[in-house]
Amino acid sequence: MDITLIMTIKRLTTFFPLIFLSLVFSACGSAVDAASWPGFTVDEENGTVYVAFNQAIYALQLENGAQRWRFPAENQANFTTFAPPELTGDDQLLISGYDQTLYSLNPANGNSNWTFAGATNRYIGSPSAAGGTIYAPNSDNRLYALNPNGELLWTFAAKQPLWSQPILVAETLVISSMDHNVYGVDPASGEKIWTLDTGGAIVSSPTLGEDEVVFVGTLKQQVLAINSASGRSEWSYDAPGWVWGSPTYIDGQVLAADLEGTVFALDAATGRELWSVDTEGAITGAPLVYNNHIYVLNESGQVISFTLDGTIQWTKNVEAALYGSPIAAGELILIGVGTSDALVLALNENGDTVWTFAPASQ
Amino acid sequence: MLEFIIVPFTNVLVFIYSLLGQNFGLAIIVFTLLVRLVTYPFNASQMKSAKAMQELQSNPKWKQIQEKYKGRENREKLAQEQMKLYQELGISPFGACLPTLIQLPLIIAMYWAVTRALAATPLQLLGFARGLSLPNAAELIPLNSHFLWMDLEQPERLYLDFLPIGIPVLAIIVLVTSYLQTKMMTPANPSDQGAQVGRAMNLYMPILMAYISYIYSAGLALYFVTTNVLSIAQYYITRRPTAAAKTVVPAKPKQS
Repeated sequence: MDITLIMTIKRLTTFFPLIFLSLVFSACGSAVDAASWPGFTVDEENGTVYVAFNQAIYALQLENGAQRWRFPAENQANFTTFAPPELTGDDQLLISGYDQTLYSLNPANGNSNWTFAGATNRYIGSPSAAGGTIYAPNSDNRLYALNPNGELLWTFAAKQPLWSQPILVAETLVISSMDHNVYGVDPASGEKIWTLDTGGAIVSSPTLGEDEVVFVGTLKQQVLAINSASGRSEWSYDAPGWVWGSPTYIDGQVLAADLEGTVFALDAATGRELWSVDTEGAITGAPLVYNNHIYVLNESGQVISFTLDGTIQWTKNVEAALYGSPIAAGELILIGVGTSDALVLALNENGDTVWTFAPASQ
Repeated sequence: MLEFIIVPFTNVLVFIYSLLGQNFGLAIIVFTLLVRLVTYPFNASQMKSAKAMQELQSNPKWKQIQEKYKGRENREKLAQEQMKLYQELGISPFGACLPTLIQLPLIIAMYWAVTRALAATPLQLLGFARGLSLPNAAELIPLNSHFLWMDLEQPERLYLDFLPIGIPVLAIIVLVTSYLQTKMMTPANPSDQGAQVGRAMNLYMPILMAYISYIYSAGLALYFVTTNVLSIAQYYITRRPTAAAKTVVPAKPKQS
C-alpha cells in the first residue's frame, strides 16, 4: 500500500473518537425530529383551533387555517410542547411544556398569564381544569393541583410517570399512570381513594361512559371498564395489540384501536366485541365519532372513515405517518400531520382537503 | 441503519433488566460488561497495538529516523523508513484502528439500546415498544429509571443539603476516566505529528464527553463511565512488554 495513504489513514484514525461521536449523535437518529405528534384543542365559539407542536402553540382560524398568533413569538431553545392545550372555564389556555413548566396563556392573543415551574420533569399529557382547580400530570410521577392563579394546592405521587389527562367523575379524580395503575383521588385533598392494578402501562386518558364507569386502554393489550366510585374492574377485553389511545364512548358502545391497526367496537355494559376491522398501520389515537361516522388515523398515513357498524367508507392517504386522534371542528375533521409541508390538515366529511396549515419556517 | 443490531441489543438489555430485579442502572453496567467480554479480542489487539506504538516512540532507531529525515521535503522518505521499522518490529500501523472499526457498529448499537430503552417521550416509547420481542415486555414497560440517587432518564445531579446547586458527579467521573483512557492510548513523542494531534484529543475529548454527560441522560453517562473504567482496567491487565519495548531496553551488563 502507498506510504502516504497509510500515514493519512493513521492521522485520520487519531480523530476516530470524534467521528464516532458524530455518527452516534446524528446518523442513527429518528426520521421524525419531533418527540411526539400535534395536539389540538378546538374553541368553536371563537372559531379557533389551538395546535401544540414542537416549539410553538399556534392559534388558527377554523374557517381557513390562517394563523392568529403563536406562542412563543419566536422559537426558544428550551420550549417544546405536544399535548392538546386545555381551555378553562375562566378563559385560560393551559400549555404543557417539555421544559418542566406549565403555562397559562390568554387564548385571545397568546400573552402569558402565569407559569408554574414546580415540577421536575416534562409535561407529556394535558392538564385538566375542573371545579376551579387545575390538575397537571407530570413525568416526575406527580400530579400537581393548582388554583386558577397557578399556585400549588397539593401533589399526588404515583410510582411512574403520568402521561395522561385526569378526568373528574362526580367526587373522584381518575388518573391513569404508566406505573400500570389507575388511581381514584380526592380532588380536594389529593388523598388516594383507590388503586386498580391493570398489569400494563397506561399512556392515554380514561374515557367517561355512563353510570360513572370509565374505560381505559393498556399496553397489556386490554380495554377495561372501571367503576370510578369503587375502583372495581367491571370487565376487561383482550385486544389483538397494545392499546395506546383512549377508548371512545358512544351510545352504549366503546370504540378503541391498537398498535396492530385493529379498530374494534365493544358493548359498554359487558365488554363483548361487536365488530373489529384491521387497518394497515398502528393506531395511537382515539377513534373520532362525528355525524354517525368513525374516523381513525394510522401510522401508514391513512385517514379512514367507517360507518358505525365498522364498514370502511373511504380511505385517504397522506404522505406522512399519522399519529394521535382526529378532531371534529364545526364542519371539519382536523388531522395532525406534523411535517414541514403540513402541520394540520382540515378535511370535510368526504375526505377532501379544505385547508392546510404549515407554519412559517424560523 | 443499524436496526439489525440495535433491536437485539435492546432486547438483551431489557432481558438483563428483568433478571436484575428491574434495576436499569445495574442492567447498563452488566450489559456493557458483556459486550466488552464479547469484543475482548478486538480490544486486546487494539490496546496491544497502541502500547507498541507508544513504546516505539522511545526506540533509538525511531528517534534516529525522525532526526535524519527532518523537514517537509523528507516526509515521503521518513514514512518509508518508518514503515520499514514497523515491519522489522512486527508492528501493524493499523493495529489500533482496525479492531475499533470492527467494533464501531457494536458500540453505536449499545449506545442506542441504552438511549432507546430510556424512552422518555411518546415517539421514543413507541419505537422502543415496537422493537421488543420479549413475552413479558408489556409488564416491564416503562423501565424503572431510578438508580442510586439518579433518575437515569434525566441529566444527573447530586443534591446536598449544604449546597445550593447539584453536583454533576457522573459528568466529573466521565471527564476523569475519559482523560485517563485517551492518555493511555496516545504516543508520548512530541516530534510525531500524530502524537501532537493525540495530545490535543487528550484535552478536548474528555471535555466533550463530560459535556454530553452533563446535558444528556444519566443512563448515557453511566454507560460512558462503565465503558471507560472497563477500558482502563483492561489496559492495565493486558500490559506486557512488546517487541518494540524489548528493543529499547538494553541488557544490563553482568557485574563481576
